[in-house]
Amino acid sequence: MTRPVECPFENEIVRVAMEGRWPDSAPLDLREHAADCPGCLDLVEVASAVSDDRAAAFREVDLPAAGLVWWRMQLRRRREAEQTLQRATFALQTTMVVLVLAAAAALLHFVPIPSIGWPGWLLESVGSAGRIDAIVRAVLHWGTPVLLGAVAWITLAPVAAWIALEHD
Amino acid sequence: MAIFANVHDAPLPIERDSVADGDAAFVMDEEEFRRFYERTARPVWAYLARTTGDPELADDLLQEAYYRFVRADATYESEAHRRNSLFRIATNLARDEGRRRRRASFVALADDPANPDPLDRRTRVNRAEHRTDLERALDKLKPAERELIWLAYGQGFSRDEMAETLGLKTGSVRLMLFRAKRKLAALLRGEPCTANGGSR
Repeated sequence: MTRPVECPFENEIVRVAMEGRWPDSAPLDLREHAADCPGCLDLVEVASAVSDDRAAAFREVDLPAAGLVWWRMQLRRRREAEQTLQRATFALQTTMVVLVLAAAAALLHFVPIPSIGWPGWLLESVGSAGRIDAIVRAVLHWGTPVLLGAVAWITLAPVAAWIALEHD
Repeated sequence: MAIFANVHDAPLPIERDSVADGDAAFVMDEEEFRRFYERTARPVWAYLARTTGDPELADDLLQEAYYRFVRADATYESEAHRRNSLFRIATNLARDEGRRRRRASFVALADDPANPDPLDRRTRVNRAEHRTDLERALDKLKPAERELIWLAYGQGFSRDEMAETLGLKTGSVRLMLFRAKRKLAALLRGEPCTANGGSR
């Protein structure tokens, strides 16, 4: 025969056991029922053991004071807020650098500057003005895709930064 | 039968508007926290210590649980709901730690099966000497069974509260708790028990 999963006396037995009143101070009818009910026999065994162990655990634990826990949590919260701010600042700085580079590329592409003169140290390091011009022309040849990429980056970078920081 | 319910079925704490969350302040103030901590810290610690079997780990998880609870800045329908949320956070932390330790022990075993960490071994032996009968019996239960037993008979949670805390359906809680109780009772009596908890 299958036993019912729960006995109607279960809650009452658990309450009495948790209050440490089992078996001496338990109501007589409850004790009589538990003696005949296999489920309640198991229950009494388990609930009394858990209740005793819980009381022992309460005695053995040495908890930190609430004030100390609160203080540690404040410190940690502040540190995490600072880290979030640092990440946001870095994302903003990166965006600004990209923005400036894109603006410079756009300026070179759209505004003709015939009188531009290359500084001496740059000529020495690269070779000649003609070579620099060739590099600039090559860059400008790809200027439109680069510009489009930069615009896309400028648009998407803040969105990406926002998504990355949203859960913080 | 799906044992695990969708966690969204359980009533969730209401998240506060996080727009004003830029500063380093918690919504719960220190005095409110102090009162809540004094009411709940021992029960939560006992729950963590007995479900993980490691009192030192329980110390760490307890602080982490409170931090996550306070950081959530949620509002609750009642004191019981607030307490259940704390227990749910503690349960999830204990489960995560259990998974992490199982992975770590698997890797350690694969690395060097002949030489387990001697400090860890010594700690375990020392701890085992001081265990009560109940702790030894709890060790033989599955983690979910330990959680159910402790919430039901250590905390006096209702079946619905247990379902909410553990992310289970109430019907599953009844059945699993019945089996866990039978299994634990058999272990405490020193009887061998079958896989579904019945004694032979």
